[in-house]
Amino acid sequence: MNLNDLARIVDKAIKLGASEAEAYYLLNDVFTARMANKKIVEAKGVVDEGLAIRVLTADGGLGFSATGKLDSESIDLAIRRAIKVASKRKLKFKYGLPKPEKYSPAKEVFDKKIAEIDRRKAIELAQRALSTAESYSDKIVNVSGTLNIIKYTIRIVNSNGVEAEDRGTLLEGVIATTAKNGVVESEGYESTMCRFLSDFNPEEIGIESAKMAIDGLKAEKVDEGEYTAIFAPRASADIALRVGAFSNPLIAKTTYQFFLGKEGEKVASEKLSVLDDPRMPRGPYSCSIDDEGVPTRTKYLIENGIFKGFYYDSLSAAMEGKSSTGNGFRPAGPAGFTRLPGKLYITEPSARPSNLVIKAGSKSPEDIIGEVENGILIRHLHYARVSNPVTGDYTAVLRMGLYRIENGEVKYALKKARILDNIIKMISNVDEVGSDLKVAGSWGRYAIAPTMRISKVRIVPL
Amino acid sequence: MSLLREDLACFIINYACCLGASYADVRIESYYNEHISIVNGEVVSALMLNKHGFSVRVIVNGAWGFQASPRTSIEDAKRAVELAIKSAKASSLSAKEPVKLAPVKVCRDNVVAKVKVDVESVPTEDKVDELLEADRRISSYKEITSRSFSYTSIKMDKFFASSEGARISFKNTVSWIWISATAKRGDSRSRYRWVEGGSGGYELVSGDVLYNSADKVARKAIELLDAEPAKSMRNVSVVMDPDFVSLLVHEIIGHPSEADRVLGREAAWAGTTWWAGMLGQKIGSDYLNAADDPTVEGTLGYYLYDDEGVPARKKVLIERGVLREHMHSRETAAIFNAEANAGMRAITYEYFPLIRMSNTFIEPGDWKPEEIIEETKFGVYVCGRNTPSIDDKRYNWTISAKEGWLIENGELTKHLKNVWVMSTAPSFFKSIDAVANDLTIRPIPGCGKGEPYQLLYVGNGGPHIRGVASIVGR
Repeated sequence: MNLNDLARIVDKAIKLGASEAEAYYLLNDVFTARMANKKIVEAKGVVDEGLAIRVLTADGGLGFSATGKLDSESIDLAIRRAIKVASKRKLKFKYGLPKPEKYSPAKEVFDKKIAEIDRRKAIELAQRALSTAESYSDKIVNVSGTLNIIKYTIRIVNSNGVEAEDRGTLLEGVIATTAKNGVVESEGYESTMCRFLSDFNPEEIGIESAKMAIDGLKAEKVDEGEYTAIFAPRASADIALRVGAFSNPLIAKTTYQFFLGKEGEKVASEKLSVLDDPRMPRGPYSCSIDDEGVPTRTKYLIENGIFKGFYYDSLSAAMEGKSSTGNGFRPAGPAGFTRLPGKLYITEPSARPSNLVIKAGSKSPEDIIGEVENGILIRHLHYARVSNPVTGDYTAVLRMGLYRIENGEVKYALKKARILDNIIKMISNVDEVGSDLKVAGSWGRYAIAPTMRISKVRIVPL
Repeated sequence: MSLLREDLACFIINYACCLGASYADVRIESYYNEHISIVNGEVVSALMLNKHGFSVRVIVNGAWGFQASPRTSIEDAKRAVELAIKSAKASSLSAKEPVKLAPVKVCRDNVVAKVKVDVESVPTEDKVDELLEADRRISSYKEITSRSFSYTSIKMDKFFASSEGARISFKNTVSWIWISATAKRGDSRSRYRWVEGGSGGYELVSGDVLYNSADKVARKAIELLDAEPAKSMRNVSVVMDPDFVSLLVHEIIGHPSEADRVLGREAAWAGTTWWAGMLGQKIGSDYLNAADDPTVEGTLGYYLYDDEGVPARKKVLIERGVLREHMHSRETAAIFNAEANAGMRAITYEYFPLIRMSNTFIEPGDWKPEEIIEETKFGVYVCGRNTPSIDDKRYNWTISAKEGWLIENGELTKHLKNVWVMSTAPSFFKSIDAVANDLTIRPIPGCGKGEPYQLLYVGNGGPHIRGVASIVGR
């Protein structure tokens, strides 16, 4: 479906009674190689294609409908449904769909080599990661993982003159390993998300994952207590994702109210700066425009510990008399609905972050660790969550990748433990930020984060 | 050019076999999905979605290949088959052992689930009105400070065909509604959340069901304002109501019974199972009997054939405390040398099916629920499921209840909130000493598993049961 097709759909919606209308088209192509028990167990591809219609009516109504059936009858039905439901969803504030603005293309988000990769080559990449992990040691008893290859195109037209399109490619690789020595078992994990095939190193994720699992075979018990904790990039990424959630204007009203009314106030350590940076070259969530055609721009969420403000889509911005920050993205739908990796079309745009970036400091991770006399290194968080949205109590299982630091050196691995602390206290206790910025994350959620040192983190053995 | 459903399926299967598939199946499916969310009297989202497409799954040289497409012309079908075959061939180069499928009865059937009110026949605007009315009614309670309603319905028309000759169509609708309310009085704040739903149409989530559930949620939230926070207690008698049991069963019987977990195939994601290799062994008391049964009409886990075309039957997972059977795909059944038992499901045609629970529950016993309470000298009665925290082997578990009561000399005394129940799976299973006769299967609409991730609707439940666990006050 091209921009002209979308323009015709918008015209049709206006003819049928909408005062403003938007048509959003998505083509999302995903290939997944799933690995388990040291082999590739599923090689699967899916194409998701669909159209989302959003309409406004003269009496302040807002309606939405989506269709994966792209014949004219189904599109007509989707338009009519959106208009009908608008009669029951009256906005209590003035709202208009975005106006056209000039936008510049996001840099280095599309790689022809990923877009055109064939199944055989893709599976070979998965196999290389798998084999590297497996052959790292004869104590590796299980290797699992995922390779996702994604290419997407979005197109948006609205009745105010917005006509925009964007495209991108992504490659995500995850390797999880289990090592066993007698009755002792331990796990390792490594993942990466990149825009270019040349940035993907399957051997590296295989080795790093296996190494973590092998390290864990000699793990010692950790005592309960407060520790100076070094968060490696993947653990720091979770902190960036939390700041991203707290900086969401809707979530701030309903769930995490930590930053509500705190614009210009200190909410974190002055060492901590977090940006929403959709313009970052090769960023996993970089884009020229958001999912409602608003040009994207880089903004601080926290700058030197000061909360700079929320990010907005056009609707949440209008609700507060502000302007969109180019953060209108379409999230996963409810249970039972499709939620494939890549982009989605089945939901309305709402305020979401793009690339969450913790601004790099100047020290190398080695130097930061070198300054720690007595502490721990956290390389992986599992099941991290804010367990109490009122107080900010935070818990994460340290299922693997936990190490002891003594006299400035990483000494040995530690057995499973849990962080039982408070996220607001933790972001206030960041006392050093490293220079080693990296795309890091797990379970399909990534941020761009360096090593960080956080003081007085409460750890409880499992 | 487009073909009729059966013709398209035949074309895809024949083409796949011509290209070298030793097995092929195809799923052609249509969906109408609807979701409305209302917070404090305002519609925050109302979405309607039509979807249609197919997927083809093949085995070539002993390896799986899969491709899904939203377009169903002959050209698109050919392209999808070619991609599935390529995927399988490439993947077969690294396959250590060829995939084998357990034999199944080849079925041809047409199943239509009972629906009283077709969700598409009721305009979305009318549903919004009804939800707003329910919201208005409970907003009249002065202690209620916030309300939310979230309605979902998925109407599906599925067709399965395999190269073995299976031809199965299944029309079903699943609907559910989440209702939550927050109450406040002085410094005391409480929240209560409830879900109703199952296989069926709009009748499951509208009218008296909706209004009565909303009222119950509001009243419960208000009652909890006066409840006392639970105190920690080690190893006490805990009586659990069916809604609490539904989550317990889901987490520590359902998930660990999935054969892919047992085989370590989910190690990187959901985890593994502590009872791997223990089939035939005693893992609980004689009172513990558990099953998974997709054939229960009206439940969220209802189906008569799974997404591999295997005819469904009740699976006896645990019998008198002995681990009897896992949930299987045809592939895992072959590995275990077991009978395929129809455990494979996907949320839509876009996904490779996974081993999933259907309706997993503890079988009823012969106690009356009130007898269990009367015959408990000291303990805690926990009601309503809240949040689980389970380790990756499903061994250590902690589950919070919506509310609880202290039991003293067979009577419910103090009303409790913030009740977390903690134990290990084997010690709790062995401690079960009373099972009531009030089996209830509750809806669990969002069970997450897989890569790409699938949030599937299942049923879980049981009757009132009693065992020994620790209470953690927070």
